[in-house]
Amino acid sequence: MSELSAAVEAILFSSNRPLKLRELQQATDSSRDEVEHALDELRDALDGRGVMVMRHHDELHLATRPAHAAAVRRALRPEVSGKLSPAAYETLAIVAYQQPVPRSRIEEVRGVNCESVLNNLELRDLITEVGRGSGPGQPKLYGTTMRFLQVMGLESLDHLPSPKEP
Amino acid sequence: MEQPFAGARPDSPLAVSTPVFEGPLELLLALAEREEVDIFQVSLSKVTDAYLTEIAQRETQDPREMAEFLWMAARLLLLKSIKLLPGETPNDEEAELLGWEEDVRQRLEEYRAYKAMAQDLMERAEQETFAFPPPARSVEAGGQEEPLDVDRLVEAFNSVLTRIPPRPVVVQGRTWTLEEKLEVLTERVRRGPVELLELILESEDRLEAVITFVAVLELLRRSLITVRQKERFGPIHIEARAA
Repeated sequence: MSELSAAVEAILFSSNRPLKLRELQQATDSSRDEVEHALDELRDALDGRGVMVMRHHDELHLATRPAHAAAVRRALRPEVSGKLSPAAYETLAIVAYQQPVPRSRIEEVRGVNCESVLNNLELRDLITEVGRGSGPGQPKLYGTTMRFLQVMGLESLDHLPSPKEP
Repeated sequence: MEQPFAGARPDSPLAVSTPVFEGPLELLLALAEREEVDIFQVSLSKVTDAYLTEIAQRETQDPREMAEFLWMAARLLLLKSIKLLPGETPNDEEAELLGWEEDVRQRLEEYRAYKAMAQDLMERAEQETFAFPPPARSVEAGGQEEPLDVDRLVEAFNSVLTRIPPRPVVVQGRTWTLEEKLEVLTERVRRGPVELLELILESEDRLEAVITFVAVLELLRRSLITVRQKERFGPIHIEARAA
């Protein structure tokens, strides 16, 4: 593993919050391509290990592998927030697969008002505003968060289970 | 299991009732599955009777919601009556109704697909698949063990406030309540220390910045957090207070 990869690993290990690609570039005085390459290397090196690189768009974090969640929980008893309602999961699924998505689209699919469900998901930091639509009133567009990946035990959004064919 | 906050439509009795089906779409889908009718192949009108029985049993006091269910019922009945008289060329109104049926079918199909994905997500979340982020570590802010003077906090807040844009003319933004902010902040610091400046700068507008700041003061008052600063004008760190 290259020096840069090792540096990136050290930085991610020492940070208790997700870091932006840009922050990694600045900290290591490297280009975006170099950091991307270093991340690929790190990802390969961590294959089969207890931690993994988690990526949500341009944000990076180290996290424990989902396979060891039970062991980690037994050892440290970290808190996990309460269960979500079926309505919340439906809404979360639509946001996850269609992001960035406005509320109107989510309500079209579910056929009911989704305001309170969306607020709840936002408060739990599972979704967040990722931009504004170009339509009238510039509606808020929702997307998922790093926390969403943690809760679902996903390495990145590319690892979302693929939608079933109807 | 919705949080009490999530059901925050105090004007609607729905928030506290236990709606088995949230809307006509969900009910239709469930009926089709229960009656084993493939509404993607046959007419929607096949579930009309089941639909009517179901809504007759519903105890919904919310007239707005009931109206949606009834509207669907009316369309289903109309559709059924057309299907009972086959052979005639549909008039305009009937043609419109058949178009509606197709539209509802497509929506049901899409809804069904998302329900399946929601199921996948739920199963994932309920397995032991959590990926834990690194634990919070204490921040390098030694030398300031005493709680920070509130005046200094206000000073820091004022200096950063000018960097946040005023509310834009076109607004559809959310209005935060203090309670919501408190909840968000508590969750944030639980996951690790945050820097005050960063926190304030995340605000969309000055109003949100003020609410954030007031929430910080409130958490401080309730002794749920501590704020520390290594040197004057240095970064101010907020940490959850060990219980």
